Amino acid sequence: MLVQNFPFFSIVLAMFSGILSSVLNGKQARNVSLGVIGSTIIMSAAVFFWCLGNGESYTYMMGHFPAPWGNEIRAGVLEGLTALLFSVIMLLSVLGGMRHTFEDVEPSKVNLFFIMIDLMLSSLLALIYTNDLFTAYVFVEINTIAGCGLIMIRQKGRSFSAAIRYMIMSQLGSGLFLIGLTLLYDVTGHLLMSPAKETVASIEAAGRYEIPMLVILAVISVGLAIKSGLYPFHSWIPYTYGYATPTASAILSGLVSKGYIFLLMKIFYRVLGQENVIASRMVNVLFLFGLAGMIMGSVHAILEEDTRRMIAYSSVAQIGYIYMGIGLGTESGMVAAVFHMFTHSATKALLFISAVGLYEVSGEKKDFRSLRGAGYRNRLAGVGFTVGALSMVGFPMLSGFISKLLFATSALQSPHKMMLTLIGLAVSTVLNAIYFLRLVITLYGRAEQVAVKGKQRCSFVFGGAIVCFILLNLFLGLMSQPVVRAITEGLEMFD
Amino acid sequence: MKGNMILLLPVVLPVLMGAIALGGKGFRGNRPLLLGVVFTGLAGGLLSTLLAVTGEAKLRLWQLTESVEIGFQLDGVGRFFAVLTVVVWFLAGLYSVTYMTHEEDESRFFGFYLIVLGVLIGLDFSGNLITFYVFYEMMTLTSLPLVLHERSKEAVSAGLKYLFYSVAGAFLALFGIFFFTAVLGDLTFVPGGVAEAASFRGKEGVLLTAVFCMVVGFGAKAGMFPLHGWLPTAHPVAPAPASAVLSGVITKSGVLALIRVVFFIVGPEQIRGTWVQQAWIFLSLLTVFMGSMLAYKEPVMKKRLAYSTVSQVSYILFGLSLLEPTAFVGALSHVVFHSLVKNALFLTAGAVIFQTGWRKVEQMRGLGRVMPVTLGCYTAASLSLVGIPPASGFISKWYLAQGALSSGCGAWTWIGPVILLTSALLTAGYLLPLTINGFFPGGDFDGRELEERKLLGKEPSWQMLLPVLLLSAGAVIFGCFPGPLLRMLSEIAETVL
Amino acid sequence: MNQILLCVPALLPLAGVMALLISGIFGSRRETDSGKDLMEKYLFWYVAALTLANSLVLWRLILWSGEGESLVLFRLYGELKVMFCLDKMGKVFAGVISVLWPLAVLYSFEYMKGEKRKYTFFSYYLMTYGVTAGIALSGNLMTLYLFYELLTLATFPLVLFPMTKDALKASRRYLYYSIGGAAFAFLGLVFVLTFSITGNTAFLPGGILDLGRANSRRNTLLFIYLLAFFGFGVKAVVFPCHRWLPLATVAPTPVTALLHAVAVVKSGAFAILRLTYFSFGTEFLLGSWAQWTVMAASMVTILYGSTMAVREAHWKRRLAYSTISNLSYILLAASMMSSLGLAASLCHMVVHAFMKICSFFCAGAVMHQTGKTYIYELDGLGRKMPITFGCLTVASLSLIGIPMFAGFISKWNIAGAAFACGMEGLERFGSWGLLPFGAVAVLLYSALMTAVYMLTVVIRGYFPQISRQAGGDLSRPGARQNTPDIRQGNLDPGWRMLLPLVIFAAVIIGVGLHSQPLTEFLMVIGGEGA
Repeated sequence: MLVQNFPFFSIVLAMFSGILSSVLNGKQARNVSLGVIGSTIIMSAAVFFWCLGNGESYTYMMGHFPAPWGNEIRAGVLEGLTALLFSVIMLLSVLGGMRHTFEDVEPSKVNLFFIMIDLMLSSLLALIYTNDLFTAYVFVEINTIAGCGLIMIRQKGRSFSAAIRYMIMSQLGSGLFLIGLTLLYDVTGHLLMSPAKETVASIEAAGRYEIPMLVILAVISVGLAIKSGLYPFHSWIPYTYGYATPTASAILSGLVSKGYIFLLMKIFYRVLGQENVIASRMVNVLFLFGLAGMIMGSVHAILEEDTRRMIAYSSVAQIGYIYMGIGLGTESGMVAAVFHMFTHSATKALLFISAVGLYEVSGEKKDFRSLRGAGYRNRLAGVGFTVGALSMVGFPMLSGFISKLLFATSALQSPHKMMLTLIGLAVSTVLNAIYFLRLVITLYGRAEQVAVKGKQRCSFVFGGAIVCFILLNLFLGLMSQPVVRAITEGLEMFD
Repeated sequence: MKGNMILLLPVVLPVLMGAIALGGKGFRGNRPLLLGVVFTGLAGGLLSTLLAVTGEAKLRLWQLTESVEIGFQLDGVGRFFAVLTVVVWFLAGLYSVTYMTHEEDESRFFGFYLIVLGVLIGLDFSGNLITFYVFYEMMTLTSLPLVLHERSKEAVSAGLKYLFYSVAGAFLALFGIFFFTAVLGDLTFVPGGVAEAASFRGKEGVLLTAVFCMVVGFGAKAGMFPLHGWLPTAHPVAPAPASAVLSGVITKSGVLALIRVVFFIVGPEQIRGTWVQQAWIFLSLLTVFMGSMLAYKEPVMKKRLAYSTVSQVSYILFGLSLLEPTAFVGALSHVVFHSLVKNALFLTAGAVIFQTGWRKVEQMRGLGRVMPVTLGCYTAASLSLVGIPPASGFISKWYLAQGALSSGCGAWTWIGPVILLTSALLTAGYLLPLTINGFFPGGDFDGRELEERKLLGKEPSWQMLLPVLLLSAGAVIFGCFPGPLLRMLSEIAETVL
Repeated sequence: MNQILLCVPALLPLAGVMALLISGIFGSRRETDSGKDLMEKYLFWYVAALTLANSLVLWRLILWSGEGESLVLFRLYGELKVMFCLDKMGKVFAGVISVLWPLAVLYSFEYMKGEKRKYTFFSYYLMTYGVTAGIALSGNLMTLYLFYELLTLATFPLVLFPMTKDALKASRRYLYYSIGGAAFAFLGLVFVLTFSITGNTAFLPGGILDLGRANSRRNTLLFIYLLAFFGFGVKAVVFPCHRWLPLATVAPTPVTALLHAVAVVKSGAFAILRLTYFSFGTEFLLGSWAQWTVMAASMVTILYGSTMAVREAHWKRRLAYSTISNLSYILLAASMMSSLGLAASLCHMVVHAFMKICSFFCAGAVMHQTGKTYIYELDGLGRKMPITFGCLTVASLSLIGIPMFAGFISKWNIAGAAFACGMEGLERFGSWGLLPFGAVAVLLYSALMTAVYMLTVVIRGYFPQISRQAGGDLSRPGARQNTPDIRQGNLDPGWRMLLPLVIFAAVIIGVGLHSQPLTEFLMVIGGEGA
């Protein structure tokens, strides 16, 4: 089938367009990028619907080397869906932050920026589709490099130090991940997921290598947790998201960290075996870290005055939600976590992009108080931000509500963690409300001195991106049923 | 609406006239017209009350909620209080004609004065506890403007204090009303009480608490300790006719309330010998003694009379609290006597203020030279209140003491009479010095000041003098010929005890 | 056809507002000075027509909609549907708001004359109507929750409306509290959904919990009930969650009057009634520690609210504290968990709506005409604004609970319910049964405080204090002749403000004198609900 080739095509297409862009100028590179992302959307959609229609996943051999030597790609419902959503969000982020991209980046380096976007896309797709741990590692590194590039390309103020921080923490994470991989290879002798899982199962059945297996689990989890910014390892997040160019912030916070989480889930399900993970106490650790992240991220955000850093800290909290869902150790908890991954991607990107729109009309100051009245000056961005904020707070009809609901209902199935989860959810909602709604009120408060530095009309592209984001949010909030069903089906296909 | 519509007349007529006096625009500067309206109301009230009390009647007005009915019902106690009220009201109204010339806003005063009359008649005619409560609350609210009348800072704060105490009392009582509604459902007054011990099984504690709340709550209007504080504040600031009726009639509505609750709803048997009765006796005796002591120490005339009221009304409460027929008769006769006497005394005090501006007792030396007739009335009334035979106070106190001795209430049988006697001595001590100093100012009294102010022989006008005369004469005459009254009261006592 | 009509009251104002906002965006550039007046006139007719139409639709539904008709608008997730259904209890709430809203709009037009940004104001005012109607019409807990959240959103711009620092602070606090409360109420929603016997959250009289399953985790569920109670209790201003309301009085008076005395706070109370009687069910809650906690919380609130009201010198804030205590009357009655309790709490819900909106409108009329906001400034206004103060007196007496006024009826019912609960409680639950008796005591204490804080205003209005001149003897005839005549000039506002006031006062007296139809209807609801 042609469709079965699409995952591979999309990865390779993104990669080669990056190479191609290096010889193009900025505008052309942009067009190429957009084209690639657009085609990725189509291809991912095709893969998703094909898998959904057939009700099965498939593995795709690269070249003609079968396992255990070859390199494999695996595509199922969940992979297709994730790839689809990620590429949609990527497209919207790029479009929404377009003008800023051209302002922030030196004209001669614009094509570099789009190279990084292409590489980022391809590495994300690879992380999603791969069935091979080593490929995963390679793309983790590519992803890191692309990420650094995206942060650094702004070349202003603190973006260097932000990039360096990101680099160091990311390397720490990938290092740990690599160690985990090595150990796993030592124990099982496989790098492909499916055979590795069989070996792990037999090892577990025999009851050998208990400690090494635990170490592997811990090291991989922690490594990926660092990279996705779980609470105690979150220190790089506010810098990175706070000082990069908007598109980069949106992509980094919305997609990159989710890519790692997706990888972690995939490893849990497809290599280590979900039941083994639950049996070890690792889930509890993740649960507690997640819970702590939910609360502490929000507390930090409340204390923060710089809007974008505030949103960044909110990401810490939201990632905490996801890990909490994973940590519940139930099927429905995992569904909730995946759904929240989508929610957060869509919402956080929306927040970053609309925040940009608001900045533009308020004199580009950092302090959130300078945004007073911005909601009147750029109405669409104001609405976008409000919708995003409400979604994060868990307002019904928006996607955040559904994730909250899923978390809460799944918490009921694990009696020991139930109360903690529920109280955590409620408290974190209150905290979310405090900083997000403070901002929303500021947006609609009376501006003392109207800082209309060029009351530009928001561009058509920007407006379109915001509208699409809002619609995406509403879609996830109102039509969640099919999405959740697809996620459940996809998770079942993992086994 | 079913029943004898005549009952409605004495309630509606004064209220209507009062509303006309309040709302009519033409009364400013047209005093005769105003007085015409007022006396239509007063006389109409008097006549229609007398007409109404002759018949035996019931009247159901309407259902307030499905369980609560507003309705009138005439019985001995109601007749007794209604006639007393309307007579005293008429006399004090007559007095006001002159007195109010030196106050502002006459039409407001008379308007509310009439409305309160209507409400009080309604209170006396009430056929069940809810109706009673309705009128009780209205009485508080409509009498409030009388206290506030002067609008000075003191008057307003006194008015608020009056309001606070009255409403607090009413709400305390409301607790009991809620309770009895919940248990009994129907709260129509029945002599001897509607409650049966069976319906309170297991809730005796709550029952007694509820009764106690009602005793203390309704006791507020009667100036019983601990809610007596409003009386000495509110009376002195109100215009004299207002303080006269406040003290002489409105405090009695607290008494009426307790009679209704204890003898017509709860039934004396429910509380005989319980801690509620003990507490009630204790509180009333404490108030008797305390009121006299405070009156004795008080230099301002009207305040002194107010404390005296505190003390005297608690005589009545003491009589009721013994739950004994003789004491009951004594209590009700004291209602009449105290009402007449206290009105006479307050009106005298008002006359003094009106004519001379004197407010403190020590200023009134030589009053006998200014207004000998008035002071004579004062003396007669005072003697009656002290209880010198044959004046009326003696009769009631005699019955009270006798009732106490035969009540079988433990130590109270002798503590009560002792305190009554002590209080009588104190009463003499705080009332009679004015008589003595007034008529016999002593050798060192310099009468020139009186001459300078042209005060000698300056009796008030007949409208003021006549009520004082009638009231004090009544106080003496009832003492000489108490027979019919006591017979009537004994009949009432027989039905309820 | 009838089914579709069910969603109209909720959606019509929203649609109307959308149209208004869109026309506002396009219209704003062409606005000139002369054109502005014209626009205002159109605005008036537009808003008035929409409000009236909505009220008519509501009454059409109240009078002629059959039991059990329902409309599922869409499915949110799984069994969580947005469903409209008008049962008897919903009819009560819908009836109240449909009467109050047109009158409040009428009042607002006079009140807001001369204010800027009328568009914004009336848009959100109208929108709130829709949302509140949605709460009345919601057929399941999910829909209720949805509209509860929407209510927060629709009303916070109205708090923010004056755009002052205070307003900013107030709206911020309002949002935090409301959204935070909803977060806890959400937990209740999740549990009801999970333990529901019907598999969804649709309201049924007597509750929808699967008692077999629920009793196995009784304490957890009771705890969640408490959380949800306090969550919804934020809007119903229960004690620890009450602090937003006094601040929110910075909003224009029509907002404070209609929203913060009726629509918003009563929605909270309504939600609690739905939660208690139609979701968890009294059978599950009766006699549990949760019931006593809830009862105690409302008692504390009553004590707190009425005491604070006495201490407060700002008129509207005083009324706000009064609202706090009165809302807890409703909750107190509800916490009796009996048919009498439900009927009594609905009764107070209806009656308090009229009393409080009347008092607030009087305060607003005074503010509008004279600019006076503190109680000590009101000396003598009773003569200058006779109608306003007459209505205020009626409302005050009713709030105190003087018989013959509506407030007495509801207090009577509440106390009756409390006593019934206490009698039964003494037999079944031992000394816990004494708590309802305490509740009555609290009720009476609060009535006393109400007398103090309401009547001081009235007395000030009618009996301005005259300070005694130095050495002046009041007793001398003629000493008072030279006090200035304060009766000059009638300051009563225009008919658009007076008409609602007079209607409210008339309703208060009318209900006070003849409450039988109302109480009978409410008893039917009570009988079904518990």
